[in-house]
Amino acid sequence: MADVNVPPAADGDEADDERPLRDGDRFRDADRGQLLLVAGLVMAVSLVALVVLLNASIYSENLATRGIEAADGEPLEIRAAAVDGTGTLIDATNRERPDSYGSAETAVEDGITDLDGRLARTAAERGGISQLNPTGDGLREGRYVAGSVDDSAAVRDAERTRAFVFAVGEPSLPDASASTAPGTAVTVVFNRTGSNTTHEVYVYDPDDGSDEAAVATATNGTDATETCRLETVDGGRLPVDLTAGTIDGEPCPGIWPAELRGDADPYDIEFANADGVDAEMTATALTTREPDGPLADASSPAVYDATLRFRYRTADVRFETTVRVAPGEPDE
Amino acid sequence: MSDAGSEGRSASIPPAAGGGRGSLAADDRAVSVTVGYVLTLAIGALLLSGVVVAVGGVIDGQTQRTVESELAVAGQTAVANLEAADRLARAAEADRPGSEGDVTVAVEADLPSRIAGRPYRIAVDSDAVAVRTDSPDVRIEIPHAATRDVSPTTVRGGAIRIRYTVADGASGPGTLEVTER
Repeated sequence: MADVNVPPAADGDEADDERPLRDGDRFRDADRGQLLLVAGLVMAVSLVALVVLLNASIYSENLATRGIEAADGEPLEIRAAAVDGTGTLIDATNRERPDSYGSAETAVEDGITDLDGRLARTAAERGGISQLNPTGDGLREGRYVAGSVDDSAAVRDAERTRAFVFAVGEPSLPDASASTAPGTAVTVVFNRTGSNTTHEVYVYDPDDGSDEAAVATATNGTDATETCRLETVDGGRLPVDLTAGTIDGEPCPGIWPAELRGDADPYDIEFANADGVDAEMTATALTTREPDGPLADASSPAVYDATLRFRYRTADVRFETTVRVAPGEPDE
Repeated sequence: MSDAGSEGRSASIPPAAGGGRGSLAADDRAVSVTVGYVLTLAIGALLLSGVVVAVGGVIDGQTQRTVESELAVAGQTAVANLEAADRLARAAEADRPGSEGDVTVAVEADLPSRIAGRPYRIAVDSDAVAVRTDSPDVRIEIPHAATRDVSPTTVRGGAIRIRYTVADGASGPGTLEVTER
């Protein structure tokens, strides 16, 4: 019965009293939640910052391992193509032995125009612009000389010489040594008349009995010094490239006189002890005079060199220069 | 159980007394809640500061490493472009007849304008390229192999232009100059 007297309202009050307390607990929980929320936000922001930094680090290391594309590859490549192409064009034109320098000049200029168009197309395919054209006085007249020589042969008043190859039949090489070479060896003489100086290059078969060929050099015909020696000779023609410094393709530096590099006083190219020897020369000389002796009929007007203006441009690179093309000319 | 207890006392204790016992109980809980709340705050603050310090340290360390790494990459890119300009300059002067025709070489490099969100500077001279930031204080120096003289200068990090010019009629070699773009 007592249970009956207990007013239901009391339970209800008690229940009402507990409800606000539970709400208070929830509020307090919410307060703690705010703290956790702040902690979570700090963690989240920190992690985002860390991710951004890591991403930047990975990106930069990716860039580093990817390698850096050299900006100079294409302009140098196209410049080399322009120089090589013009050199080949000049030599091919000279070998055709044009009747006059005017026709040689026209042929080379037309070829350069054609080469310019081809290079421009190549550059355009790579997103660049190239331009190649001769400068005002771009081409210079010379003589292309290719023929047999004897002691009377001579090229006169050469200011420069390029692609000078002197080929001697190995069986006809005289036996000599460095000391006896001035009187007996096949000799190429560079006669600098202005300074009354000569530079000699001797080609001979060493008289020590070995099956070899040797080259010696001297100034004013005295104190000849053996420069190099070829170990094996096949018995055919022995090409001595005086401007490139090779014998039968083997390196032989120091053949070309240092005094004749670059701009020099005009000099004559003469020969000695070449009578009766199977000897031939090929060269392009910067001179307008006709050669002497058997070379007179073996020479023709030629383009000695070409001075070109080369321009190349992309979004990142600008390259403009003037280049002189003289293939086979000794380094200055 | 509580129902059985209240059954025995319900006759003598007035309903108002029941409300007083509830206030006392509430006071007990209040004390407990205050202590608990303070404890929670303290522990929470401790935890939070621990997290901030730990994560902050990690971020500072990572920032340092990232800045060093990115500066090194930016410096190497600058050096590569400087050496490319040097190669172009040498090629431009090779076989140049006397002092005929002007020589113009310009290489533009798109370096990042900020390193890990921080501005930086690029200092160049004839020996090396140095890139540096002030915060954190990091300096990376990368030697270069340019053969032409490099005009000593300092530019802001970002897109740069490397120029080499020799005027028509002037004989080289000239000087490589680095400018902002």
